[in-house]
Amino acid sequence: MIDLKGIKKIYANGDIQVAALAGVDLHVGASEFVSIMGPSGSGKSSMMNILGCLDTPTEGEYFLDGTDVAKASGDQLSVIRNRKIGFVFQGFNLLPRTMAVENVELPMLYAGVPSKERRTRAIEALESVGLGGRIYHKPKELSGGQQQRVAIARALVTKPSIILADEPTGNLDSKSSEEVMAIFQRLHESGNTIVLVTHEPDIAEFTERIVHFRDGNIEGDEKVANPRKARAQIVEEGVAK
Amino acid sequence: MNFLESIRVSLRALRANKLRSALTMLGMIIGVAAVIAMVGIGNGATASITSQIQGLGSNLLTISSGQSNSGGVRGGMGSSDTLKMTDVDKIQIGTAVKAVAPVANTNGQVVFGSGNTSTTIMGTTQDYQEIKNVTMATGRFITTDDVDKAARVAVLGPTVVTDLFGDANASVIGKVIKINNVPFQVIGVTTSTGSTGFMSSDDMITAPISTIQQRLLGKKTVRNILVSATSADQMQAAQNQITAELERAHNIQAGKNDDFNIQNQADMLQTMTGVTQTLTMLLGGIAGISLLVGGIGIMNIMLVSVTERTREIGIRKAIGAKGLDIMMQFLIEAIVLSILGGGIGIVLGFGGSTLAGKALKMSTSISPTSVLVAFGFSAAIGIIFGVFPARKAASMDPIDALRYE
Ligand SMILES: Nc1ncnc2c1ncn2[C@@H]1O[C@H](COP(=O)(O)OP(=O)(O)O)[C@@H](O)[C@H]1O
Ligand SMILES: [Mg+2]
Repeated sequence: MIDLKGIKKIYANGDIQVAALAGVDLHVGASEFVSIMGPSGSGKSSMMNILGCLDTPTEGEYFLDGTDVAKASGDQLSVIRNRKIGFVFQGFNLLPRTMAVENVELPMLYAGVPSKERRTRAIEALESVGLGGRIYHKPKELSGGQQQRVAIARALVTKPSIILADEPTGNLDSKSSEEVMAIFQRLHESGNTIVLVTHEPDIAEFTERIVHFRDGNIEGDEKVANPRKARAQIVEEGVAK
Repeated sequence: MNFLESIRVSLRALRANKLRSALTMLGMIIGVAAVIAMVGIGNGATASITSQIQGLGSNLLTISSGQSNSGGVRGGMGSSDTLKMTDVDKIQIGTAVKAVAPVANTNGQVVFGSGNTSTTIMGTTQDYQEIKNVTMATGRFITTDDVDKAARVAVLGPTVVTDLFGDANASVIGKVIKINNVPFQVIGVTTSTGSTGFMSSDDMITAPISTIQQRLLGKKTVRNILVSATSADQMQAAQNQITAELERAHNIQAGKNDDFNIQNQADMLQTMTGVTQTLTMLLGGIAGISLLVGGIGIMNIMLVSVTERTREIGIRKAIGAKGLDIMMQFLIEAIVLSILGGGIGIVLGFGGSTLAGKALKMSTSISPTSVLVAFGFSAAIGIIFGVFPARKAASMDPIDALRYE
């Protein structure tokens, strides 16, 4: 599924060069549920951006579903992001002044899905994250947890090969965090591959494997013996208007 | 993403920012409205001047006292009274010249009972009627007999009738009015030509030139001699013929300056329409500059909009938008703004020029060309000034765009 070989990311700030990733090798198999942990500045986000094809490595090879995407062009990366990757951000990154359902439709718009099908699939995705009653709400009319669930619906609606999340609970209270983790667990149970970044050990405990980062290198890689089960019940929040 | 979807995305973005969209369009609206209105008013002015000059009479040549234009320094038209009644007979009626009439005019205070008005008194001969296409509403025009006898008869314009008798339909034939205290009998009323303002043929009294010279002017002055050519093609021939005849009558040696001056209606028309066309172009040009400013306004706002929506661009790219998708979105936004602005501008310009026409009492004409040009120009401005911001948006790196605060 994911194969990284000798990935380096070097940022040049004038004369000073920062190696955010110092040569990372990582394999993530299909249907894995992985969390990446590490102190601030250890290269977690740099790693996720490369995994999510938002950025290209300075050096190294990145095989996604068997094809090397490390040297792809901007537009090729757009297509890969659109087809294979669902990305969830810490800050939600929803379009403001745009209804939840339209936000979820957006990736399908660029995939060329006809508008009727877009709407049905977007509504299904929102229902699956418990937001069937909020489909016509705009982001500012939703709580942080609800906004993140819209973002998750947007990430999964294209049925991507892999769902990536960079500190998805970073802006959420513990209750909303648990709700979000419950959704990820359920997505994992239905066969999705998920990689998420967190600096909270509690959150990492919901996953099945933890990769530790330090100074741009993988410091440790462990299986979680007994992943904690997120208990939050996703209450269906009302019915669609 | 197909083109239709791009349009839909752009329209949604414009609707999401109604105020900004409206303000952006404002420059375009004003620019296009100004072009349409200015050109419309200009065309109207040209048309009205053309019809006024044509209304002066058909194929008209006007001979005045004074030096001709070719003499360099000009003695001022009619400053020396070099035209005489005898000159009229020197001009031969023939293949080129159809009719000749001298005119001597003055301003007079006209009184009838308690009615009182000040108007132009035009002394002339019978042929004036043919030259100026004067038609009678009632009664008759002055005749050669009236001129020979210096009869105190007067033909009134409809405005004079209203001013003097208080009623346009008053029965006035046979009534005796006083012009500068000289009694005149009314013999006819001309039909309205609709002309207004200075030297309007509606606000005028026509009388035999002999009577005016003797009773009102006290001297045998001839202000102008009006000549109508047999056709437009004969204007130049008529002018040459008259020049030769009057030079002989006035004993002007070859190479010397003439003491008279012949004005050609066609020349006048050309000069006047030339002036108004220049004015129209000038006004249109100024309005065109405001159109350009409107276009720059669109570019300005689009650039601001691109910066302001950097995050949106980042989000769209992160979930799969290609450079072209983003480019199309912003380009279409710019084009929609300018075309919509242009459309509203055309409507407003149309209304504006119609209103201005009403206020100025003249007809305005919106030419389809100016509408097409304004519309095409606004679309072009949308594309030209939209491309730069759109390319800027399209070339953004998703990571940088998402990081933008
Ligand atoms: N765009 C950038 N330009 C320069 N340096 C950067 C940039 N992004 C990240 N870095 C540097 O790379 C290192 C890793 O950053 P990051 O991947 O964001 O770490 P984390 O997400 O683990 O906090 C840090 O030292 C950071 O300062
Ligand atoms: Mg980070």
